[in-house]
Amino acid sequence: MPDRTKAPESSVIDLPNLPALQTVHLPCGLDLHLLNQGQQPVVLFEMVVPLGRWEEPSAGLAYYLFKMLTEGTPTKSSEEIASFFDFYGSHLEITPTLDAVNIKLYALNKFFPELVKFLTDLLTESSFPKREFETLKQIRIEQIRQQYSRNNAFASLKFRELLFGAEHPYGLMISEEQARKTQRDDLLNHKNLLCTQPLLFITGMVGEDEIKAVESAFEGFPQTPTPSKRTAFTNTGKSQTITREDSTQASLRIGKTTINRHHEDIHKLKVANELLGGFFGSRLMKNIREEKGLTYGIHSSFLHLHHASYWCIGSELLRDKVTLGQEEIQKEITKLQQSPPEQEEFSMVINYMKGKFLSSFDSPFSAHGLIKSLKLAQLPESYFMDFFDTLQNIKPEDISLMASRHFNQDDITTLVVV
Amino acid sequence: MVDYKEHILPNGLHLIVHEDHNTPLVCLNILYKVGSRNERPDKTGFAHLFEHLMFGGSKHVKNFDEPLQAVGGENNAFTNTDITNYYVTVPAPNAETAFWLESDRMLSLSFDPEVLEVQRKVVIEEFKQRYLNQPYGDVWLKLRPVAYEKHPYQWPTIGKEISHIEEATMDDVKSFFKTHYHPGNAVLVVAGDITEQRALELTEKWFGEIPAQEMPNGQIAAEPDQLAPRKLKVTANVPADALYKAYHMGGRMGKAYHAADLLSDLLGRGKSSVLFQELVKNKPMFSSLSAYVMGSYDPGLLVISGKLLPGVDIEEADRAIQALLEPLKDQVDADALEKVKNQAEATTVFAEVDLLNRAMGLAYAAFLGDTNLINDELELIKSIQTEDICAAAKTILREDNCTTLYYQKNEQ
Repeated sequence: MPDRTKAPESSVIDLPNLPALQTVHLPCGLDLHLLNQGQQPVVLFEMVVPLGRWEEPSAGLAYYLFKMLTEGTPTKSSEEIASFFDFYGSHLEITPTLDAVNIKLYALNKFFPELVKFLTDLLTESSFPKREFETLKQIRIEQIRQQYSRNNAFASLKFRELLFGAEHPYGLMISEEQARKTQRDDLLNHKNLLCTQPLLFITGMVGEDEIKAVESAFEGFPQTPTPSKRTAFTNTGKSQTITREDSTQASLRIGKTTINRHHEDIHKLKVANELLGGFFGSRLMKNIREEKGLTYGIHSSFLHLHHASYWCIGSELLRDKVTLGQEEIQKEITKLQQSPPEQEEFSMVINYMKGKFLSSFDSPFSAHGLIKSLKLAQLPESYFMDFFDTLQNIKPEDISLMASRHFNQDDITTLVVV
Repeated sequence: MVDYKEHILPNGLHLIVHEDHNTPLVCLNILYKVGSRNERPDKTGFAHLFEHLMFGGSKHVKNFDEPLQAVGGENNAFTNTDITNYYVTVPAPNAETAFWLESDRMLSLSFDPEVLEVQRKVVIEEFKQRYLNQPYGDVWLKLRPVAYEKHPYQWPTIGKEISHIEEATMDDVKSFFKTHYHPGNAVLVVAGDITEQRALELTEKWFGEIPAQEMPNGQIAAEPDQLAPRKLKVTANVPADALYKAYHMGGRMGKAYHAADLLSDLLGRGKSSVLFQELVKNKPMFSSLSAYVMGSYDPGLLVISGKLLPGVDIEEADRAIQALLEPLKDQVDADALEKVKNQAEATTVFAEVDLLNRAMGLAYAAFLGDTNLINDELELIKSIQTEDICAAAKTILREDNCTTLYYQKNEQ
């Protein structure tokens, strides 16, 4: 009979062997960052095209430019292009973000060479057929309407507008009107931006054949230099409450702009945030979900964008309990600032983060995301080791110090959509 | 290809071990063979509420999450119409902590009334957040009871209505636990950096003493054949009109299921699919349109759903879909079939990349009744011919067999 009243012996969690990142210089001049990891014959190839809100010639243009990639060339129709990717069971994901357009190609190794070549051909040959463009535009306008009608999606965008200002590349909310304004001629005039020098990443079962396939797909690829970025000033707005009809819950967002990942506090701050509201066992989750039942979930997180970082606590709360929710959040922050956590809670969060660190590098595709973010932010390769070091050496007092330094309330922005 | 070994403990627990020494982790995945299909019509949403209670402390451990987090573990769970699935990922040297925690809550819960009160509130908020507070969130609350007249699939996993959650009592909780949470009704998968021997030892040590219980014998009402078209209309504050068509199909096992699955892929998976090409691209009536199968254990639904472009008449859009279904009953393009088979192959291989997915896949295959389905299903899918698809289309894609929902926006 095992003794169930006490936990089995456990061991200290050691730093795992991190997957080795390699960089291959391709003859075309571009670098290919690769992670050879995993036992299944699959790869994820990604192009990160640095054409975000700061670089695109008009707001929302990159979206159309890249979404039209699969809509036609002088020799291939939209249907033929879609059939090609689908026939090989591959998955092409084009995601325009605030900082870049990410093009992800998931493929079985056996079909990868054809697929990557096909993809680079699209980048150089895209012809933006008129009818397809009109359809895409209609769909885009619909998406914007639908997105803004969902309280939580709307709240997240509106919160960024409050943080950065409505004219700022990160604050700007694309309106239906703006989405309608873009014309096919705008795309034709900026066609060469499709070939803006990308960063290349590949993860999975990557060998010589896969590297060769990328090499030959990019042979003679015309590289457009990255356009210069616009200048912008952050113009933080006041806190705001927006009332909508038919809400059964309130969306709450609280936060402010914060330090970037090059700052020396970054790892310790991450621990402080984790304890506050970063995981299921966090103080906010315990207080507001598990003790008071005011919400299904509450999360505190950092968003590191290329030119700014911000911190945000977000939750969907009982409609008539928003004020209570806000007060409790405030209490938890103050408590964290005033007294260091007890040893038991402290070591729990540290070990939890170590375990999570292990599992985040275990899947090739999640390791891919981590390595990509490292390269894009131009962080040193020691970044993840430093993080693990911090987990080994941080003290409970550091937590309250971080909370006092970075979670103070003077310049905080609050948004309630109810 | 996923390698595994199986054992059945004397108390009925089904153990599956999948060794993978390339990872520093161990996963424990426990599937209980209970979902909303096992609920009574007057106590719906219970399987899911119960999943929440499983984190509120067991007989000897007052909190599930904390001791696990303290050794670097993570966990979560989900409930659907057929199963409740719990999973833990932990650094390999600390695997035993996961055995301790999972076995203790299979042995007995703490049945703390306060836990029930709080989780009741949390689940009600979840009900609101996911089903009421977003456009179209209540589609399945509306559609299921029309598509199913007898079978418990007539309510969604979250429950028929909030009042059922509000009225749950501690006695209900105890009897649900006794009926469904015991070794014979569970599948345990241990996967990752652990040997078969060690996994078996730990399973015997921690789960071996949990007593066997009688297997639940609740008969689940079979759904009678649908004989005539069913239609319903809903108006709400939504940004666009939406159309849902749900057709009855067979259960999860066998070739017919995969033929129906591939048929739904041909119709509405990805941008080269029939419906997308015709009604989003060539003659735009929809801003999005797709088709899929629910994948449930008992006879399920093949669903076509889409959002309409402004100004499009919903009945006309409905007729346009129906017109595109007819040709598939006589002829299916061989290249198109090969395409969806390739997609199915890619889905299978990609699903094997993550350790946790492999563990869940094994547990689910065992639930279906044959663990080796995890490796055999792809061959079954590849064996499907164009005639099988036409036959599926003829049987399934009939208006008499369909529930149609027009979900329209309020007149301004």
